[in-house]
Amino acid sequence: MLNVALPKGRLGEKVYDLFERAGFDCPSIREPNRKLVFTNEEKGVSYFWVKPSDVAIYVERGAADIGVAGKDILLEYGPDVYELLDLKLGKCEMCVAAKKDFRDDTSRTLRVATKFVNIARAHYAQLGREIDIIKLNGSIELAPLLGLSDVIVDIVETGATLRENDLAPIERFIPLSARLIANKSSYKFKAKEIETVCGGLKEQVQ
Amino acid sequence: MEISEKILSEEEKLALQLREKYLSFGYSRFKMSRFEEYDLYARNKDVLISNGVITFTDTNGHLLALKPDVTLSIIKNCKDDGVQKFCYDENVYRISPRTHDFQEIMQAGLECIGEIDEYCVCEVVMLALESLRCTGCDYILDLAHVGIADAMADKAGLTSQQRGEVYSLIGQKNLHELRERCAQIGTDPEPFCTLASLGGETAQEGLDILKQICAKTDAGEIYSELQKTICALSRLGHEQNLRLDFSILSDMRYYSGIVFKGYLRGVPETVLSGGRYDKLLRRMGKQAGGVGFAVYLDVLERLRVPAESFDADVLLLYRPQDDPFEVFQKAAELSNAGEQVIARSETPRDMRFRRVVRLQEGGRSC
Repeated sequence: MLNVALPKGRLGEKVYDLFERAGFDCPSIREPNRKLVFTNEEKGVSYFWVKPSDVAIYVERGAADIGVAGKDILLEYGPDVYELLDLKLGKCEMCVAAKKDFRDDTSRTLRVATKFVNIARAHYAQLGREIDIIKLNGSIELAPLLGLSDVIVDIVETGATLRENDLAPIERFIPLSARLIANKSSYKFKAKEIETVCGGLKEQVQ
Repeated sequence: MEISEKILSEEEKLALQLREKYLSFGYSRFKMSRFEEYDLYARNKDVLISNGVITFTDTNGHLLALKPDVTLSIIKNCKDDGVQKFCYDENVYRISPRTHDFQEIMQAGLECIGEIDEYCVCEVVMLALESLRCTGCDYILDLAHVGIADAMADKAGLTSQQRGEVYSLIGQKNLHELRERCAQIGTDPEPFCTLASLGGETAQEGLDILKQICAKTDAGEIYSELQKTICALSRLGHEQNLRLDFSILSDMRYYSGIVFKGYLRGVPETVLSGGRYDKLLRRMGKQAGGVGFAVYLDVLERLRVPAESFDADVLLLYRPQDDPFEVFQKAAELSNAGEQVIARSETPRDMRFRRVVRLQEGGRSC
């Protein structure tokens, strides 16, 4: 039996559709009820929904054998897991954005507001730029509008939120999408099962 | 006085079993001080699994560290003379990569230092497999050889930074990004993708796959060495538990030859890690080779059977006016009969016992 952690929300539903099309369906997951775990003994899979940012934790700690997590989460938290497949779902980019009239003054420390502290730090370290990181948990776009930061580092999908708030992406530096991840120890003991699921999903993705 | 095994935790029992096994193969016990001069770790930071070290100043003003690693201390103390074999079970202090807090880690292991030949390597890997078998769980040992990956990287002309990136992607079995990165570098991704894909088959099957890509590099001799080791270990009865898996290379920076990592069913993380570290010895001024491993006993807590449903076998209830001599005599009688006994004058709340014995007039019980 493979325990699969799926991210709650719209992306998670698309991901489950993919598993279903690959032959690992679990009809009870579509039933309206309050169950937390959905098992299909015959197909050897057991699904559960978790907060998208928690998927990697469930997999790294072995509560789930495999799961689907965004590349942003994998880069930010660096969980010790295998990244087996790019599912090409939920495609977006990690961007640096600022007010449309922003001019970068390289003689000053750049104030960067973000939820993704590690990604932002690594990006600017590579550029050798001194920054002041401002960790926020939401409404990142507000920071440059109110003068809290010069720029933001955030996920941009269509750019609509940025446009509506007079902001614009000034650098797109990491393409992001949903990835199939596996616990390293689980992979040792369930390699065939995991590879079968991975192979099935791969056919759907290509 | 004989000590009952009952009082030992599973980790303590395993530590003693491992010590017995290592001693029986001629490894001498190495007892270390809990502290070491910080300078040793400052000079060899890249060897440490975590960067954080707990430091303090001793009474003479020297900066000391609570030991984060055992291998460095053993190397420092070994002589340039023949082959020396040491085993240990020690606590080390490191930052947990998950919680980012310091952790005390119970670790057992062994080191074989000196003129290392093929037998020495086989013996160490064999003892690593035996250590996993001692846990009584289903186990897998992943094996790889740094020389093979390096030969492929040399052939592809990878720079040190590119090599780090490629090994890291192999470590994640991340074929999609490995292909992309190789395309950016301008090198053929297939040999690296093959290395990353190994692991699902037995080591013997893995060798057949590896042979084809090794034929295109200068790694023929290294391949033969790896093949010999795997054949010997398979003949010793571990064939089904051995895998060739190069994903373990990514975080084994100071190893230079064969490397291995052990896993147990039901434990989500690595429980054993080791390999050959000749480069480290040379850096520390020793003209010798070295091979060894550590077993992380603390992670075996995960394998513990569920806690007992009772706090003790017997609750011995006495009255405040009872003679302490008689209470103790009764408690000793029960304890000598192999039962765990708690003597109280009242039934404690929140505790459970298999049975209750009441002390009555004249030391009798019912």
